[in-house]
Amino acid sequence: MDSIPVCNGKARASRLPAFGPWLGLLPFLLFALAFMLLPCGSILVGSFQDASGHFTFANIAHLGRASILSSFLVTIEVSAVTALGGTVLGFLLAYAITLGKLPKELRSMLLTFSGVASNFAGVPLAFAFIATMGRMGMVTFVLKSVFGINLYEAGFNLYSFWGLCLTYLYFQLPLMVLIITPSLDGARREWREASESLGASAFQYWRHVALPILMPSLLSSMILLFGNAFGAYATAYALTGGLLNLVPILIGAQIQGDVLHDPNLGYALALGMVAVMVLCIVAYQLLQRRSSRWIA
Amino acid sequence: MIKRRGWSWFWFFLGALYFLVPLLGTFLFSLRGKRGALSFFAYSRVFADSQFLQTFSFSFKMALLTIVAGIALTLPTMIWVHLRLPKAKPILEACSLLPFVIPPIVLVFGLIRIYSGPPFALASSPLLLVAGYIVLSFPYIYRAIDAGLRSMDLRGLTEAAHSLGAGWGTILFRIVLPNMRVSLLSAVFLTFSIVIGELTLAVMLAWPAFGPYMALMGRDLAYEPAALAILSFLLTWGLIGLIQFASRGITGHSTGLGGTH
Amino acid sequence: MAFLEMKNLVKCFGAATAVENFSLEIREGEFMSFLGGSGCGKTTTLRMIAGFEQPTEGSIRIGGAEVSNLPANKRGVGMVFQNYALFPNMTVHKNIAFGLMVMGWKTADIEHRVEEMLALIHMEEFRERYPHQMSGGQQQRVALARALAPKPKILLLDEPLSALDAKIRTRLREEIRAIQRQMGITTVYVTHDQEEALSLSDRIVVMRAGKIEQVGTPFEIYNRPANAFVASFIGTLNILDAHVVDAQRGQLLVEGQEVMACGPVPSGQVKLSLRPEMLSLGTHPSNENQLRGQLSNVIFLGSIVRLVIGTGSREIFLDTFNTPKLELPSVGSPVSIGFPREACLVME
Repeated sequence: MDSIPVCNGKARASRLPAFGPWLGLLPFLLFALAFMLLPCGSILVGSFQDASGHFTFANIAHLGRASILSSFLVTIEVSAVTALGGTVLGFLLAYAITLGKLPKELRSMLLTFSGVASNFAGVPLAFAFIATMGRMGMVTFVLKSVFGINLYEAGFNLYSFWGLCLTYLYFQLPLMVLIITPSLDGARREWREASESLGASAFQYWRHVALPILMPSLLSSMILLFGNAFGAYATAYALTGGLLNLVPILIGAQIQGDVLHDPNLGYALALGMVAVMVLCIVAYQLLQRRSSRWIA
Repeated sequence: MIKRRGWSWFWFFLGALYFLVPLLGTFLFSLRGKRGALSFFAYSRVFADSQFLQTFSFSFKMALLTIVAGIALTLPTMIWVHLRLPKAKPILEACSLLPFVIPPIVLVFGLIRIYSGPPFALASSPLLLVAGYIVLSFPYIYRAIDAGLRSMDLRGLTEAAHSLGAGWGTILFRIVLPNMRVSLLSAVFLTFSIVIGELTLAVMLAWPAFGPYMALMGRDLAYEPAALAILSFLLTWGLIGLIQFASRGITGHSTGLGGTH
Repeated sequence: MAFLEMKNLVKCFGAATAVENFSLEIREGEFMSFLGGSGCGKTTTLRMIAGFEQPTEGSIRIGGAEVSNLPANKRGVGMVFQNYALFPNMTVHKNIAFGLMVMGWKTADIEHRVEEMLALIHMEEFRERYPHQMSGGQQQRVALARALAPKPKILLLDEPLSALDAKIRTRLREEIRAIQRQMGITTVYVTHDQEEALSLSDRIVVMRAGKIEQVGTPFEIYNRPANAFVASFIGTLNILDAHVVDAQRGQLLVEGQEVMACGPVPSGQVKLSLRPEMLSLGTHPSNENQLRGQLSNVIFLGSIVRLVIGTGSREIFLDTFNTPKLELPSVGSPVSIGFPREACLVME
């Protein structure tokens, strides 16, 4: 990289200035700047501005308002419940098709279906649940007319918290199956056999060996599921039409009209959301590193 | 051992029940469009609606644009990084995580804030929508192409081609692309399935796309939305099926996880 | 009396029979190897002893007690796996202590035993390491200590060295043998590597297609193979077609030349097997037999030199020690192969 004269043209080509190769990256960097970084930056900046553009912490402070806190809380609750439910049930399903010795055809069937179902979300998913579990839905209807069980009189409501959770689970569960199946495939038969030959019971094997080994993957998958539900807008929008005060719904309403009577509060809301997601992704990466060390 | 398998069956059936009941329920529901009889009436009403065709074809066009522009932007960049600038890989990696950190609703909020006024008044141009869709589908395109690049020895292949006298164009079109057919196909179908029914960006940027159309139907009608749900499920199934068909026999090639919800 | 006794073991997977009518008695403290190619049923047999596979038929007794219906965790059998199978979430110390912990030992006793085992494998300083921080050889030593810690009645090793590189393999092999002698534990060792089986075992079971081909000490297996399969599986072997002239005296005709084996031999067409190291170049009074041929190649193998000698339709390997005084005829020149009649293995 110094000034030794070079006669060979080919060799000179490889001695472009240090930033030469970066030129090839320029189109992408410009795109990322314009459509990924700038929008984020503008929200970050907007969160710290008042209506006339002056710097302020007021928006951040307003996040502490009861109504906004409660909407964060309910969003976190929906995400946590569906992440936990998806993790536990998805794990059991994945276990059934990997270590549970079910026929191979069922395994590929479930994996294919999970690929579809985890992509089947948003408006059509909401419709499907309305048609099934809504007031007029098929399951509601069959339960009432055949079994005499009135779901809605029993307190169930599809357009409420638990209804939303049930609906979200439809993409959370298959997502978990897809994520955790490789980890379970990585759980070696020899671990179980070694533990058995050392005198451990099935319970002791799960308690001391299998669960601790799988824990990082389980946790990181759960975080992924949490973020997946936390950012979801379309499903909730189509299902509850804004009845539930989820943060994404609130931001959407803010975009379409100044429902908060303070445009900059909307930015703070979005910033709060990004903050939660950043926490998720950091925890996810840390856990991933650990589990990849254990399960080669 | 037998007990263990019994539990496996139990959980599998429970899962199958949860997955299949809504589909079956929705299908039956969609057949009740005509009072007193099961019929495909709701479906014919859907197809007869001129809005259906208009919005669907709009979203279809957006999907095509997103696919072409997204791959045109990503593929050369990734090949370049792979060959010449490996140290820039973390940047791409980070960008592929970004859509997870910034949910669509936040992304569109930021986009509107920047591009609704001068100096870049783009908000009324479909360009902004396509750009947003590229951001949303970037993780899937990135992962698919990355898997494809990693499955072949790109450096070895290009060096071999160079030493045989091939130029860059020949290398790209005769060697790299044919070897990446499968990954590119899965990127294409995944992007398509994300964009075709997308709601958040379309609704916020006020485009007459298929997602907002479906949402609107849901507000006013009962049986047509069920028919739409079944149709979209079949569409998703078809797209994922195409990906799995294209990538059959290739190990370690997973389909993309999750779309925009 | 036999300590580990297997009688008429049969294992079928669906329509395929993996192990057929396997009967064997192993004495207390004995080091027994199961030797064979892949799919010969050696690992399946081992897994039946461990309790990971249920025999389709037959019985397994340990110390006189029937165990074939006991689950693996009640058999008191230690197992070492090909891929170490250390628990990745536990340190060396925790791995070794695992069997003791699930048996409900007191903490102080566990500590004492773990120290003992660490000393046995000379890895005291690795106590707090995780498996991923150690080499394959170290991991396998820990796996051995883990299997031995609960004082199992029998130690089972399933190709424990095949994932390691050659140098470590030899060293660990010696270590396994030393530890086994020191503890006097009855051991079953599965391998496809004849050198391992020969160097480690008190006795070897050679298996093929689910059946026992021969049981014997390494000397018996090598020097007096029961049949052509065992002979060709163990060591390098020249196998020649021969015609018996006089079965009682052991007179044969090989490549048109007369050879005397130790009679009596079967009559008719037979196979004459000769170990390369039993052959020597030139004439010598103690070698009754001579085969003439032409030197076609010389292969240098380090401590030995292998001569390839063409005798009409066949090529014969002849091994000789690589000594400084070694003088070899040039390639292409006629040579004479000499060997005593005891070197002849005649099989049908």
